[in-house]
Amino acid sequence: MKKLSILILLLSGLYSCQEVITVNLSSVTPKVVVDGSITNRPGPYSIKLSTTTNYFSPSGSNPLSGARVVISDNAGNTDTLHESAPGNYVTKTLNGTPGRTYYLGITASGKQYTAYSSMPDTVGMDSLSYALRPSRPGSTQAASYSLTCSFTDPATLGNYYGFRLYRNGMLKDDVIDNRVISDKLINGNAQHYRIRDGDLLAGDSVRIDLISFDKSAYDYFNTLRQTLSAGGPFSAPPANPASNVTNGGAGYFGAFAITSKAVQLQ
Amino acid sequence: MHSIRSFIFLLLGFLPLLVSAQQKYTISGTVRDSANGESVIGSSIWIPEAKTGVNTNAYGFYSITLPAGKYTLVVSYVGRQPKSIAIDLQKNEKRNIELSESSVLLNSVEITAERADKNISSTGMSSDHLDMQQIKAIPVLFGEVDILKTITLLPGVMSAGEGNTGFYVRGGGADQNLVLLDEATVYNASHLLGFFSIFNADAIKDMTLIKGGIPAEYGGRLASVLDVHMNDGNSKTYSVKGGIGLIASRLTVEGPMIKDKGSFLITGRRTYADVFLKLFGSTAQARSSSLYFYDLNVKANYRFSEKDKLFLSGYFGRDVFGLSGQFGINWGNATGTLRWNHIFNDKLFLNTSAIVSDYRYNIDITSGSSNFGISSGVRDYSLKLAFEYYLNDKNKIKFGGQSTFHVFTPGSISTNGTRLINDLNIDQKYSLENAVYISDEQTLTPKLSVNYGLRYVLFDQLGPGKIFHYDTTGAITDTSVYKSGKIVQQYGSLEPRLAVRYTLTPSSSVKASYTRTSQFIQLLSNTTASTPTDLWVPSSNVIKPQLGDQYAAGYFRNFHNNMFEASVEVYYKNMQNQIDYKPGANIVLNPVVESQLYFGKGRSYGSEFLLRKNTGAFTGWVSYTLSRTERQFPYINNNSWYPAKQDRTHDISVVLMYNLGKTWTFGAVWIYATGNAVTFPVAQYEFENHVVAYYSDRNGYRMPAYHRLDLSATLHRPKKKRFEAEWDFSVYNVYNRHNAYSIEFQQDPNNPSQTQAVKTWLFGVIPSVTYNFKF
Repeated sequence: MKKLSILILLLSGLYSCQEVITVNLSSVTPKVVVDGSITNRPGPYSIKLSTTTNYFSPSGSNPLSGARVVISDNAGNTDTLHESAPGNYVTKTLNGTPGRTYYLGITASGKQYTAYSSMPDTVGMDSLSYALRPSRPGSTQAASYSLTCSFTDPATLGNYYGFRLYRNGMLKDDVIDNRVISDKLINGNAQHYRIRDGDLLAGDSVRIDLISFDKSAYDYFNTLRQTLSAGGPFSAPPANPASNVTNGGAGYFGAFAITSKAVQLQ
Repeated sequence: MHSIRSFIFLLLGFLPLLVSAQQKYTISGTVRDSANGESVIGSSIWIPEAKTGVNTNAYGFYSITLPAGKYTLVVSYVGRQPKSIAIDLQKNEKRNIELSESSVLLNSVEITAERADKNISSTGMSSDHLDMQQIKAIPVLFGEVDILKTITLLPGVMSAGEGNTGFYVRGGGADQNLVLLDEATVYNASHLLGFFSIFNADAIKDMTLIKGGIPAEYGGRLASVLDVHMNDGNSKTYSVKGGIGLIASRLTVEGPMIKDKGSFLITGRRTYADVFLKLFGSTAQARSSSLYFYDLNVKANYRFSEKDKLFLSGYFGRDVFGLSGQFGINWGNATGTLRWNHIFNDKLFLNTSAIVSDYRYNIDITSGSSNFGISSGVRDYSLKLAFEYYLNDKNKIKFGGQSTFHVFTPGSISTNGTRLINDLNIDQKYSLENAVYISDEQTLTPKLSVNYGLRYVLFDQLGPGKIFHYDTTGAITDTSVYKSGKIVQQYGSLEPRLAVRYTLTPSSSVKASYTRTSQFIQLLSNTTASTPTDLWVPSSNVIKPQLGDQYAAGYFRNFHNNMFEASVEVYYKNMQNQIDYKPGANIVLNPVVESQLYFGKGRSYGSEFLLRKNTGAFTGWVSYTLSRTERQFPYINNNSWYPAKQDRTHDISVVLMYNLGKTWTFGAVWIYATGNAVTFPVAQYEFENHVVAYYSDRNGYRMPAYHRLDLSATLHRPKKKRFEAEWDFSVYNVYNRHNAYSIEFQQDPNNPSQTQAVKTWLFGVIPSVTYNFKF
């Protein structure tokens, strides 16, 4: 649908304009937000808790301190998290394992919130290749690196993927910045997911995480990505993504199965 | 069910009144335009001696039965010289009548109703009949005359938004209007994503919009009927007319095939925005892009005998948009109608129609070495029989039936080159919609007349196909496979229709109506703007048919010898099985699209005020609608009523036209509407280092109010030999109001920690000029 918006831009290019206006928004009771996940990588894992702030107030997290946070799994393990920094709660003993379901329990300001998430099996990455793409004729864009992450979708339907890109050990693009993929249309096929990034330079060490998660995480990230770009005439009416946190909470508690490959750009 | 039973009793109760045996004769015939032989639809034949009258039908045919005696037929129609014909009725008479253009110049602005007091005397309420002459006098965007924009100036009709030909009638959605072009359903009436409608004014004869008290011969949509008729073609002489405008040019050729036996008409229109892009585009990409639409209307008719006439009409239009080598999309409608008019005798008229209607879009995407195409659409095949029986001067009976076979192609993907995605072919969906109807327009006493009828529709969802069953969360619980022609699901719907008029004084009346309508196909569209990829889907085992019940009442009053016409109408409508979308619903190419939907109900109520000046140099109208449209869905806003997208509290239109001598006509339009209901963010939080908005309840906020003034002036050049010409000058949005098209929230570039609201507006002040000619 992006291309359709190009049409309308071409069409109205001569006429349409934009201006900043004042919109009066009412304030709402702050909601508890969960941001964190258990993965198949060694712990500790961290869960960030915060509360929502008024829309036009300066952005920045409003950490939620002093909560009691417990994570358990269906193999009988329980871990009570400790607050390492305001709003940041970390595990002590837990080890994420594919196939297990994780339960999160939060007690904050006398209210209870719960969430659970199942970790799927890992899907291996076949290769990570890269190419230096020359700039397109007529384009002002300089030559840039294009990475291709190849993997094979398992024959069974119901796999969902996200990606993270690390540059020299630093997270550059997270799951929300990249597309999330459902195997509804691609089931069982070899996939070649491309990331083109103008910031990457020769000599950079680049790593890509291929993340497998369940349908509820896919739905959450998919809706969240639309919500973040919502507002245009070609987007659906915005709506809050379906959080897996109960009792009116926002955000998402995930269980991710990750495989990675790294490459040094030449 | 109880109300339906009492209705049938009522119907049966009236039947004996139909049988009467006095010495009576019938006058019948066809009313045509003397200049070009076009049949005149809806012209009035009034017999003052009998204080009764009749209007010509969609083919210009009329019939009236009266006791033997001497009468005068007063025949009149907007913009035509009225004609009086004396008649001594001693046997059945056949009178074909020709009306000539009134002495006032071409395109004169004269909003006379077909009969000056028709609004008072007819049982029809909540309906508007507009002639192209009236429509052409109203200023429009880029000078492109557009009937879909004109109707939004009527009470109870609201524009779906700027740059959008969609319209909402009495709280109904844009897909709840039955749009007919020569009886063929038009599935997508917009060009260029809705900036223009597919109706080329040069090919259109007239149109009727019915928003309440819908007669039994129409069905299939909940809210309204827009019945558009194409011109038949000049049967007297060859003529050419056309126009050159800023956006598009038009050309029409028409003439007799065999003089007074048949005629043809061909009208074409094409835009030239793409030509400008090629010449002036700032980037190579813009220069190699294509962006245009065209449409073609053709019509031919042939009269085999006084009793048989054949019409063939067709429409074909396409929009094309492409970025070379990357992306291309084209979409459009095609319709074809073959009609046979047969007059059995002076009282019984039959029209038989075979209709094909098609809408589809195709998308081509090239990405590296791979290439894939998506195509989707809907096609209808219909057969329709419509009888009109002019029983006597008190009863006009209509009955008939229609059978439509719908084929829906939800979408298929075909790939070439490197295979990144699988070919996908979502099963085509088939359904059969059968309807029968009967209605009687009956004069009970000189003061009281009724139009009552029944329509019964039987809808079958048919195989072949894989049918999914879902649980309440939208997960598939079961799949069953049906063979070709096997009925998957069947729905029947009995639709009573009733309209009553009671005359209070010769210049005032009260009317009331009840209409039940049902709708078996709907447009899925979860974006704010209408896009060609919006998807038509049929009722099914999951999607239940939409049902609507509308109650309306009105008071109609004319002043100053029908110079002024005033009306007040109130309505209440409830709608069942309405559709909304789950958050992030995916409509395009989704084999399980039904799992993306929520089902709920709607209601709408309001009052509409109209004051119209019909005669004199100065004509026009003021309309005001005060209304509310709400919906209730179990999973939206905790099951409480919320404002629908089409909810507008206030909607005002002022239309003024002034005739200055024989050369100049001036027009002005001012409109005001409450802003759309929208969903805005109310809080924010951080998630994975992104700032995420937390949204309000669905449609919890309003866009700013919309208002705009347009002006136009038309200069008519004196007729030289056969050549006539006129210049149309118009200014859209005279006071350059920046009406909000959308409001988006984004980071303040000067202060990245702050969010700001940014309004996009489409059209500032736009002057335009159009040159029209005819010879």
